[in-house]
Amino acid sequence: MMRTTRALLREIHPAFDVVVRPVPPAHLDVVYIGTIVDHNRVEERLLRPLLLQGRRDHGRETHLWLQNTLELGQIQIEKDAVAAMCALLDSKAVLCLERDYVVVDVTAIDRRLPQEPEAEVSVRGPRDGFTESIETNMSLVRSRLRDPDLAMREFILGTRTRTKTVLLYLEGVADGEIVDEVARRIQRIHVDGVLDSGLVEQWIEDMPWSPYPQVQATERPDKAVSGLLEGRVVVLVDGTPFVLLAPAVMITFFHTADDHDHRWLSGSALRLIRLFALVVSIFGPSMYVAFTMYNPELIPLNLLLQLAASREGIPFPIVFEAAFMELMVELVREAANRMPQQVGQSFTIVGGVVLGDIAVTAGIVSPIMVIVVGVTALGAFAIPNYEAAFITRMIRFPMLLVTAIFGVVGTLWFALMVAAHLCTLKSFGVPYLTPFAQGISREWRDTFVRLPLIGKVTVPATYQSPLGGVAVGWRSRRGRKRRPL
Amino acid sequence: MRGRNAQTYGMLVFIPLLGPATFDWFPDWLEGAGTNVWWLLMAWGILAVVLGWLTAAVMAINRDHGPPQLHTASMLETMLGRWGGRLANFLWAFVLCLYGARVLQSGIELIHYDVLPYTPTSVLIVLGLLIPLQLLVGGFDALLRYCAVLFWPALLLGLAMSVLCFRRADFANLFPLANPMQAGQWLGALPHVLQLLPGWSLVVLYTPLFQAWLSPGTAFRAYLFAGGGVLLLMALDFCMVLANFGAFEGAALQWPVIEAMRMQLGIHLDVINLIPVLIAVSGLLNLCVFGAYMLIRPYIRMPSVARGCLVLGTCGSLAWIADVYVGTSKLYEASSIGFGCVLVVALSVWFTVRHERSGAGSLVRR
Repeated sequence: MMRTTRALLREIHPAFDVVVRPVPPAHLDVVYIGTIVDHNRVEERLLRPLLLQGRRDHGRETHLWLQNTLELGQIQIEKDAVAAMCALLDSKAVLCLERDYVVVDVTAIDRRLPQEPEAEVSVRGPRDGFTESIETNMSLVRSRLRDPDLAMREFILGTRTRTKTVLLYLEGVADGEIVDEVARRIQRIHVDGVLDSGLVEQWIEDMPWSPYPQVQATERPDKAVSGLLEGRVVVLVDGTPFVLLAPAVMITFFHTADDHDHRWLSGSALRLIRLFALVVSIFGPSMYVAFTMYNPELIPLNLLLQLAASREGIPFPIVFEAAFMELMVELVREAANRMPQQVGQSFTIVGGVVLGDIAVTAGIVSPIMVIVVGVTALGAFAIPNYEAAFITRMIRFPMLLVTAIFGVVGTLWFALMVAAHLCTLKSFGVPYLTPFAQGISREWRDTFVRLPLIGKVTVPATYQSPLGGVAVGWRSRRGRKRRPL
Repeated sequence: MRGRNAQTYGMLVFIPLLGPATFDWFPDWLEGAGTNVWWLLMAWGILAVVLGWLTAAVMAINRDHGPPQLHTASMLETMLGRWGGRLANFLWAFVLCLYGARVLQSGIELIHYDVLPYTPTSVLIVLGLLIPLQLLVGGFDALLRYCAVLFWPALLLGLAMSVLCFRRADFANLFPLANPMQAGQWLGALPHVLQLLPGWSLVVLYTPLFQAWLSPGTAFRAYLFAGGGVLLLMALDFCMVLANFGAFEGAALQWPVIEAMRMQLGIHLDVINLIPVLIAVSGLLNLCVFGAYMLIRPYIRMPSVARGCLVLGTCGSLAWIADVYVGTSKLYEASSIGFGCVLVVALSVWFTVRHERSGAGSLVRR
């Protein structure tokens, strides 16, 4: 065994899958971890050429000889045993020479193929989604964005997991200050393990105490590329299909990838429906409680009489009914999420219908409350982003409590409190309520409605650093290239 | 800062200039001038334009000759000397607390009248002050965003509610447009126009924060747009009140706008009107609290949260006193107007002296 091999093996804990293959004809040892490499590549492209060709004394030409003999792409030379060990853990094979190490890529490529994302379904749009492999994800981005200005910064996160993380942005389009800030925050992450982009998201966001997501996660390559074109930064983390988009402003959580694929009228109508869903899901139960408990005069008389009749015999106050039903909906939803997919769907329907029906029959809730909670739940599910939908559902509970105490004033006060909180929020320096917070109506053309793409193709200045000063309004996307392709 | 532009400045001007006008001033104005209230409104408009010009002129002087990071606290120190300036700043902060308390108390009275008659005032005061507390943490830009985000929804809803109140209105009540009035009556009615001053003093306070991003000419134009908007909104609401009740009955009601809505839109649909009104109240309260906080910040060395709590505590206590001792709120309003008058005189004198010294050009050329 070579001296360098012994040094390398000292760095890694002995394990059954650490393979050391001495290759006497070539005067070197091959070390790799058997469970994470492609055995075919190791046998056919690494060991066979070495064994067949042997090695004459090439002196300083050894590395060149290896490069030409092995059919494994670019080799990498490492002087240090620790660096070689890191390469070993990164699914590479290490060739231990007399004085140094040569690293070759024998990574097993048996990852999941791109499939349609389950969390972000699109009606009209591409069907592929990111996978757990960062290389595949990079290829999905590059295949859509054939731009030499696509820049990348690589990080290794987690002292033990050594997770590869890549920051992507379009040079000349993304704001330099924001790119540097994202990179700085990623570099500041000092943890032992990063297993998912969700952890990175929580480490780099501006206000960790806020319930609102300040970085957008997506499974869709088209959305990521669209973000890059708008000047946002994309963070890819190995081992997860969810990539991060930063900065994120509130309105983007209510847009879907195929909004722009529809004609402007359909796209705008869909967005308005989502806005309606948002309003209903936030205010639905609270307004019902406020009107029935405090301001019944606001309800038309006929409906009020029906309401009163339907509540006859129900022993609990309306607010209890609402809270009970909301909790039941959350329970059914969470249980369905944790079940196998086929069972989960049936359970959601059966659970919802049966529970609602039994609750009404048992005299715990009124039928109208079931309708209110059902419509509210539908509204929340119409919100395209999971995080945004979840927080929308959650803020209903404190709002319900405040409304039960203060009526309509309580609802309004809570809404103003949330608005004040959102006004203090920023995502990498960009105000969370951009573009509404700046009062610049020119930037509102792609928010709740989407105006036709007449005239110039433009990109909003939303994701520019607020300190820039000149980044107001829309910039033309045409002519942005510094050199022709 | 992208947020500090002419549009947001206009919104920031609109909120204090409107103040509690639509739900607070109307009975006094109608009592003083009757159907001649349009002349009063015109006088209000003229005063607003003059004060806007003064604000822009002071901004121009500050921009050319002041330090780059000038704020209103240092401006008063420049005018009155170090200790005089400090005293004036503290006094101004206190007056802002008084005005904030007045506005808060008006809002609470309205809530008591409209929806929650039995809720303790102290609870509503605490609820009201929690919003500015959040914004104090976020700083001036968060406050500006709050104004900008809620401006259009509140304005559009308020306008829609007002327009709906003309459904069964009797426009004959608007006549006679020019009712003969004695000079004494005019003298009695005209001081109501000065209710503009507390709001204008807030505009003066916040204008220096925009001077690095706006030219005085642009700021003046934004001010004119905002003032014009306020004038139109007040005219619409006066028209609505007069058409529904006439001058005499309108003056006898405590909240004529609310009553008109109750009458026209059905009983208690005025609850919807609480949305724009409470947004306006909260916006104005935020501006008062943050203004007072900004004025005392250079002098009181304590953590910013403690400083914020000091201002909020003062404002809340004053609102509570106004609720307990009836008539105190009028004193608050008079103090705010009085301070506004002093500020007008001081700024005019200072501008004249500075203008002569520096030989600055006219505002039109900027």
